[in-house]
Order: sequence, then C-alpha cells, then structure tokens
Amino acid sequence: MIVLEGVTKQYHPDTIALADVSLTIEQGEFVFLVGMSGAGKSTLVRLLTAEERATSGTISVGGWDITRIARRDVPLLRRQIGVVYQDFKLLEQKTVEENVSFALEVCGEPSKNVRTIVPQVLKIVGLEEKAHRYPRQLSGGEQQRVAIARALIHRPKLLIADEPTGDLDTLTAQTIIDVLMRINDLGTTLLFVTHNKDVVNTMKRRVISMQEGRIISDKLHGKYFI
Amino acid sequence: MITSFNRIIRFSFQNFWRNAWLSFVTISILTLTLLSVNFFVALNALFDYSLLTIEEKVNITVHFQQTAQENNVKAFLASLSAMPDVASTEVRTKEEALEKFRTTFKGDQHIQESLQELENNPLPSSVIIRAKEIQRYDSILAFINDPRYQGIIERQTFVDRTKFIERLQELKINARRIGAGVTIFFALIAALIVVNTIRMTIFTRRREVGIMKLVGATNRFIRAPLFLEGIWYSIASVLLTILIVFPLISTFQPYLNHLFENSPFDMLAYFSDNFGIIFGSQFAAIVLLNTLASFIAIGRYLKV
Ligand SMILES: Nc1ncnc2c1ncn2[C@@H]1O[C@H](COP(=O)(O)OP(=O)(O)OP(=O)(O)O)[C@@H](O)[C@H]1O
Ligand SMILES: [Mg+2]
Repeated sequence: MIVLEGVTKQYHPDTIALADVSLTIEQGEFVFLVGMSGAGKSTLVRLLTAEERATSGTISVGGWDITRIARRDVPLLRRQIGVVYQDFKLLEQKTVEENVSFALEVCGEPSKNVRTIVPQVLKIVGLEEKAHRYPRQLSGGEQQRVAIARALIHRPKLLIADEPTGDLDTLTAQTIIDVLMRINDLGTTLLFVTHNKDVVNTMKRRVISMQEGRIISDKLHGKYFI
Repeated sequence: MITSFNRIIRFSFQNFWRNAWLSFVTISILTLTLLSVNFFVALNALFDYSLLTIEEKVNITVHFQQTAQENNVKAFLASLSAMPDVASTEVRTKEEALEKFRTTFKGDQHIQESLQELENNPLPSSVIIRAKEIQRYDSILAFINDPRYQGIIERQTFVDRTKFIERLQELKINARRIGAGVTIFFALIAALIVVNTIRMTIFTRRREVGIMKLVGATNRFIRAPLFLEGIWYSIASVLLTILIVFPLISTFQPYLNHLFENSPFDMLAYFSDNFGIIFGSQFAAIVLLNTLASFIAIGRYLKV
C-alpha cells in the first residue's frame, strides 16, 4: 500500500526532517508510527498526501508513484486517503455535519448518499447530537472526533491518523481506537501516529519508531520504547 | 455535474452569509467606490451639458435684403448647406418672421395694431446657421462675407465673437484632457480598491482554502463558489448604489435647476436614460476586477 525508498525531506538546507527513509506497509496492515516530537512523523504524513514533495527518493501509494505527482492529480490521491490531522483542520465556517459531508461532496457523491452516510458516521464517533454545531462550539476531543469522521466518510483505502487520541481521555481514546480497529478489519490500511505509550503497548501491532528523521526500529509486534 | 453545480451555488451562499461581517465590509467598500464613480459620472454629464448649452447658443443669423432675388437666395442657401462645416440651416421666410413677431408680442395691443396698419411686411427673411464645431464658424463667415453674396445679404449677426469662441474651444479641449486624465486616475484608484478588497476577502479564507484542498477538493471546486460569491458582492453593491444614487439625485435636482435657468439639466433623466450603460458597465467592471483579483489571490493558497 505504501512504499518509501530512500526518502529524504529537507525543509531548509539545515533542517533534514526525513533522512533516507525506506519502508513498506502492506494493504490492510495496522501500523503505529512513534517517535519523539520533531522526529519527522508529520512530515512523513505530508509526503504521503503530496502536501510536500520529497527532496529525494521515491514514494508510492496503492501502487501509484506519487513522487512527482502532477498538481491536478493531487485531489484524486487525497480522495483515496483519509487523514486525521494533528491540528484537526476543520472548516470553521461549516457545521460538524457539513465538515464531514464536504469530504464526500468533493468526490462528487450523490446528495442522496451523502444524506444517509453522514448521520451514520457521526453516530459512530458519537456526535450525532452535535451535528449542527460549529467547530468553535466543540471541545478539543469533539473536534478530533469530527476530524476522524471526516477521514472515514469516503471509505478510504488508507487511513492516516496523526495523534488521533492526543486530546482524549482514556475511555474516549479507547472508543476511537475501537472504531479505527473496525475500519481496519474492513480492509482499510491504517497508519497510526501517536505518542500514547499505553495504546501502543496494549495493541501489540507493528510499531515503526523514528528518531531525528530516521527509522530506528520496525517490529511486527512491537512496544513503545523511546 | 448538476449536483456539483448545486453544491457550488449552495457553498457560495453559505460563504456569503456565514462571513456576514466580511461580506458587509466588502460590499460597503465596493458601494462607496461605486458611489464616487457615479458622482464622477454625474459631474462629467453636467460639464458636457454646460458646454453643449453654450455651444448651442452660438449661431450665425443672416438677414437677407428685401430686394434680394429669390433665385440668388436659393443658390446661396444651396451652397451654404453643401458646406461640410455647416451642421444645420434653418430658413425663416418673411411671413414666418412676421408670425413669430406677432406671437412674441401677443399681449401688446399697441404693436398688434401697428402691425395691422402695415401694407408691406417689413421683416426680412433670414437663415440661422449652426456649424458642426465651434471652430468652423470662421470658414462659414468667410463664405458669407464673400463679395459675391453682398448683394443679397443685409447683415449677419455674428459680431466679433471669435475671441469668446476661441476661449470656449480652448476650455473645452483642456477640460476634456483634464477630464480624461482624472477619469483614468480615478478609475485606477477605484480598480485598486476593488482588487485589494477582494484580495483581503480571499486572504481571510486562506486557511479554509488550504483545508479544502487537503480534503481532496479540486481547484475548480474551491474557486467556483468564491467566484460566485464575488458575483453576489457585485450584484449587492451595484443594487445598493442604485438605491442610493436615485434618491440622492432627486434631492439635488432643484439645485441643478438653478444652475441653468433656461434649460435645466435633468440629471434623473440622464441616469434613467443611460441606466444600462452606466450601471451595466459598472457591474461588468466590478465582476471583471473581482474575477481577476480572486483568480490571482486564491492561486497562491491553492498550491497546497
Ligand atoms: N514547514 C516546515 N518548514 C521547516 N521545517 C519544518 C517544517 N515542518 C516541519 N519542520 C521541521 O521538521 C522536523 C520534523 O517535523 P515533524 O512535524 O515531522 O515532527 P513530528 O514528528 O510530527 O513531531 P510532533 O510529534 O511534535 O508532531 C522538525 O524539526 C520541524 O521543525
Ligand atoms: Mg507531528
């Protein structure tokens, strides 16, 4: 699903966010990406969504070489990936419901389907009661759940979650993880970026650890050890 | 296709209402700009009209001699009309002159009585000549003063007004030049204001634009609602301008009436008659500037 070969990302001549990173994630895998702040995790995510271009190396997603993807093909790529951003990236001028449905509408999904799918997904993340609120009227955890709902709504083949449990209490975090697990069981590849030791340790899934832009360990049934 | 069209329209309205404050500010600035543009339009019209009224007052009246042969007069009139400098000739026969005289002094018993006693009509026939342009009176005068015609012409009334005409001409040319300069300068400032207003509007949306891109929206899907929103701004500001301009003119019309005593300038009629041109071109200009400005402004934020 994801193949990186010798990927380096240099922001400024002196900031090397990723250094010669190679990794392969198979279709349907559930992978944790862990590492200290500034290790380059979010940079990796931005490369996968073509928000940034690699300085060198090649990247492919779902068999599609996106290393030098054309600008007009970028929307197509993003519609196949769901991303929960670290800073949520919700549209302030749209309600919860509209934020979620927007991801479907940009794909050209018929309105009839939008009307049925959106409430279902909002129910999954427990926000059906707050569908008509604006992001500013929600708590941080609730905003995060909106972001998750939006990332799921178009049934992406790849779901990337950058710190999706960061602002949540243990119980809510567990619910979110259960949701993501279920999504993964349905065949969606999951890349889960987190600092949360407990989550990583209890799940016993593949764990990729990064430090200063490099992969320092990649274990199939790993633990959070940094 | 229709679905996405509907969505684009819906989004544009949502943007418009949910950014009510921003929309209000944008429309206010656009309206203020348009109002000053229209003030300028009115000023221009007024100026043109005053030049025209002054020009219209200028003419040459040639009075023919009582003894003049009709053939000769006809020949004179024919060559006169054929002159490229002449805009119009208005012939007044002796009878018409008398009739005019009569009606002018309708109330004066004394004059009416003396007219009754007359055996012959003492009034000469005449022709009123208007030139196409003010500076062409010179050549017409030269033509009239040709010795050939002195036998039929008693006198002409164009007493040395050349100085005045020259001045007027100069004023007109200068005024046009200054007017054109000011208009261009003003249009540039107005355009700059519109462009920057739209840029500001887009700038406040840059985060939103970036997020839409990250969710997988195409550039067109982001541009189209913003473009439509610009159209709503344009419609609103032009409508608002119309709603302000007409009552304002009505208020000031009495003052205009004082300005030109004999033939008052009807500003309201001017704006109504040229409604399509005036407001249509303003709308077109605003939409054009809007499109250009937003196209350039969004471009930067679409590169996510
Ligand atoms: N747009 C940018 N321009 C310049 N440098 C950047 C940019 N984005 C990130 N960096 C740098 O790249 C390095 C990796 O950043 P990144 O955001 O990938 O870290 P992270 O692993 O996601 O950290 P965190 O856990 O805090 O989110 C950091 O040193 C950061 O300062
Ligand atoms: Mg990060």
